[in-house]
Amino acid sequence: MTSTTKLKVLGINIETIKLLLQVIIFISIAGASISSRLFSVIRFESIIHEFDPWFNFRATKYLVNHSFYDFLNWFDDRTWYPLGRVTGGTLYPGLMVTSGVIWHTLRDWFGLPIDIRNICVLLAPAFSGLTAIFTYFLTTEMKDSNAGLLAAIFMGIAPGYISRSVAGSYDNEAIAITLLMATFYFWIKSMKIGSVFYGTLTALFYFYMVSAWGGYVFITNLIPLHVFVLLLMGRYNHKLYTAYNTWYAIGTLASMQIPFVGFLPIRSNDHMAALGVFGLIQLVAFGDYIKSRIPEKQFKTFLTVSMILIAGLGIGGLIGLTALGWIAPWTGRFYSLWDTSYAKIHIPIIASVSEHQPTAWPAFFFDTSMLIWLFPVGVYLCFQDLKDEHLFVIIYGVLCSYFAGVMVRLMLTLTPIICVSAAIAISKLFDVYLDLSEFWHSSSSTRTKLFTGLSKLLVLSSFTYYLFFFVYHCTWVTSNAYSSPSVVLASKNPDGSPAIIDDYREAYYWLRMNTAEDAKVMSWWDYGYQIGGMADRTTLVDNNTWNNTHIATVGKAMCSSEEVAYDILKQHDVDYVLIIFGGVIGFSGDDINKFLWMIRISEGIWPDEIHERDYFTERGEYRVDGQAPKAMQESLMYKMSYYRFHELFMGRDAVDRVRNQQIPIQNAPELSVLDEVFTSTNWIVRIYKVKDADNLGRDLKKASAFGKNSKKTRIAKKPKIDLRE
Amino acid sequence: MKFSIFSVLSILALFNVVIGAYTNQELLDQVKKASTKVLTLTDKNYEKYLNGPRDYHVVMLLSSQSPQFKCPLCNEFKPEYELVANSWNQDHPNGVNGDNEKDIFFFYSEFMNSKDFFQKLKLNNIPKCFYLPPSTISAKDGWVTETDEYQFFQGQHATLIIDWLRSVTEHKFNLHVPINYTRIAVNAGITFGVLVLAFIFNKQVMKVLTSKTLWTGAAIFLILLFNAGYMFNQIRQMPYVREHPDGRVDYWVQGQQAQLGFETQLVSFIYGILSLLVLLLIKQVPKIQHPQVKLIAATLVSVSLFLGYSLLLNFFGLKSPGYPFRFVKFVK
Repeated sequence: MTSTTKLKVLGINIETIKLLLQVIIFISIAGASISSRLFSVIRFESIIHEFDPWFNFRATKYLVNHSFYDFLNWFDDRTWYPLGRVTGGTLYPGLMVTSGVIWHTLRDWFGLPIDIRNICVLLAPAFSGLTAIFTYFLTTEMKDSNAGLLAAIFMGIAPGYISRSVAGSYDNEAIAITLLMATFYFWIKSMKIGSVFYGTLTALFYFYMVSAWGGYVFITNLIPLHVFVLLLMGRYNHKLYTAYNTWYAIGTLASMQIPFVGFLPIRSNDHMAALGVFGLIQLVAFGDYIKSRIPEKQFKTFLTVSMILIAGLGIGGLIGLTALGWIAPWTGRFYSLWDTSYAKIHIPIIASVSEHQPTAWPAFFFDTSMLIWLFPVGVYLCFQDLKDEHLFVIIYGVLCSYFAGVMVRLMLTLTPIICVSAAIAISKLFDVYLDLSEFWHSSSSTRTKLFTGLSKLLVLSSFTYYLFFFVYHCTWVTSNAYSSPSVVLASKNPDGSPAIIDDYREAYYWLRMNTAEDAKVMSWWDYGYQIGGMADRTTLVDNNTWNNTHIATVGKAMCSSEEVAYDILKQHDVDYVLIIFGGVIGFSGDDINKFLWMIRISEGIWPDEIHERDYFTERGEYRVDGQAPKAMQESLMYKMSYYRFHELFMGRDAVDRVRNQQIPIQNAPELSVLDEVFTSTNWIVRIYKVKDADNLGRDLKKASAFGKNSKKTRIAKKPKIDLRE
Repeated sequence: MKFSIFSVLSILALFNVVIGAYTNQELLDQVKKASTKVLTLTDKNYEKYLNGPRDYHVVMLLSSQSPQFKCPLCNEFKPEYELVANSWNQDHPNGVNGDNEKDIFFFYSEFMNSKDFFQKLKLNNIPKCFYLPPSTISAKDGWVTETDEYQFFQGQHATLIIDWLRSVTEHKFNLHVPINYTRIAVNAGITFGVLVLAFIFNKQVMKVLTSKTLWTGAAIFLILLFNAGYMFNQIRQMPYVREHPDGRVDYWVQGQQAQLGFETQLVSFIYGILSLLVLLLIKQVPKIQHPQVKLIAATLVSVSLFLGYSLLLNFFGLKSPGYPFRFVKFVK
């Protein structure tokens, strides 16, 4: 090679400038992705969002207050009363351990005693910066560093990923997507160069991923599928063999160290693809070896015979093992991914979770903006090159498009590949149109230069405009749709000034300060984690939903009459019942709207006692007004929701603002087994205390009827919100 | 022929009204003779069958296959009901032979032939499925008070019916789904045929299977389809367009969590066009040698891209009213 003169700008080596620029760009990308996730912290405060994060937060607090081993052995007697939950063995500890490590590092090594809550709140934004960097590396493997930088910024601000990683959304996905990208990057790297070192790194990140999120199964299936397709295309080589075996052997052994995963990797069908491909690649390697030793004709015979033998053995073995019960049947969640009607019929609790709903097209556009139509272009370009790593993009893209369409929450796993493909497309376009070399050393006329320059300018400027617009779109979506903590509701006063509805925290704080420390609070499972985290009281059911029967019990108590419900409440030592009611301010996510799920779930367990049909009118309508059916009006939930509701309307018919129905005054419910103890400012949270059995042995209905008659006038005073002495 | 049997039956029925209900054995004989194991109730014979005293369980489906009702549930339910009846009969061809156990007989009534019967039960919607326990009441129409109604639910009707019957009759039920031999034979034939064809034309088949264009097309087609909410339509069974009674037709519905079948087509089409235009810019336009033509081509493609994207934004804005961004406002 001839020695090339090194290009210099202002006396500095061009490579140095390139590196400097890259570093600056990276810092900017990280800055952009972190800062766009801080809307909620700035608008509200540093607070944990939604439901699941409250559990993770509580678990993290437990981890930093106790030792790691205590955490793994944690038996939580403050949830699922009276059963309790083997929390240490049924959670993915990756998230908590990560924050725990950060907390300890900052405190012990840097002398920075930061509140664990702030670490939890800001963990997701911090990891989003890392995600951008890993996306850069992955895309660089696919095309070049130009595409990599574009993918990094796309990934940094795409709403599809932000939806799960804003500050305060302290959930498993917050770190899982980072680990997903890291695992995939190291996989591509190890597959390309056949390195045991990178294979081991892949396995280690896979292990981290397994410890952090149940979605690791996605990796467990995608990598084998990639290998399988490569084998089908006859692209077997020793590099692939090295990479896959290193990952599979170390990764599987490592993943089995997580208590919750245990022996699943060799028993559950979710993991069978990986095992199958592991076996297949050994056979292919063996076949490859034989082929290099014997003549072609003999090899053909050898191939046919062994194919038939293996297919027979494999299918027979699979059937046999399943029949013997050695390998677990397909899990319910897996079924709902393929056959969506399965879940609806057999597992109402799966159907009741909104995250399992299918995705309509606006959600795709909302979450990725223009990247969604650049995505097919990127896939097309991958087909043009079709190297081993491009196949990965294609398989990932097609497969995840399907999954994201079936389940709205899997948009999260689709977003990275959309970013990568779109970045490939845009950077290819820029490669073509930013190539200005012909202006310097070509012999073409000025006229030609002018026209070519104009066409390039046009295309470039329009795409620059689109990119700017993309930033606007993402910021708008993040700010408007994904930054509300949902613990605190934002609203507007009549004059347009912002108002904050803080009923949840008001009520949870009341519970924390005014009730006995060992009080048992019954509520629908949605609020279990929040009650545990914010009010620190024992709950019957929570968002973990591991015991369907227990949830159905709570559902039954809510939807049966006072007498039936009272027995259930007493059997479960319930002291307080908490419900969410939106009828006063028109908050649609309240318990009456979730009521049908309570009925359905409890009907699944007690088909003789609860009938969904009874809660509908003759004409099959769901009504709460004067025409509401008897079962509805007598249910504990109905009574608790509308108890004293009419007092707000001065004795006239009350209007439910969510369902836009009038509740006649003669339908005003009476409660005899519960006492109202707290109702929040906007009536969103109402808390009732379960009465003790009557002193004179009367049933509570008679007792309260007697009490009412003797008093004549009822004192209607608002319950105290003061602190407990 | 048909008429004569019918008239004979009806005369018999008229004759029997005086005597009272059938005995268990008579019904068993009827079931044995009948081709389907579900007996038919009409205006002419229902009193004979239902008026007590009865020594057997009665299960009856009141429904209609007539197209004028547009009743999908009726069509869905009847075969499953018959399946349960046939399964019961297969297990008990000669009735149950226990001492305390009573036989079960299945009936079906078509609205077009039994309007009075339906009137008697004051039905205003179909399908309805009732159960009548063995009874000693011998008064006319005494059975009306004894009906126990089946609640329709989502799910496998046959198993739901069985669950219900098990609870009311306390009999054990098995479900025997008849094996459809023709279907197995046809499937086997097709598989065999395909394999043979694949073997004969293996060169051509391999050519197709290894064709990059085909796979590219398929992958991009699938991506466009899924990203435009195709699975949503499949799962929710959304209609293609929504027709109003007054003849107006909605091609789209508002809301981010809702869509119609037509929207998927439109949106995937727009995505496809936009992708194609970008590909033109990347692959085709740079190949043009003539500078003026190149400029014209680049302008054309860029402008179309811009218009296409604004169209998408406008449509998206219609779906989610709060969305503030448009390039060109096509609609308010």
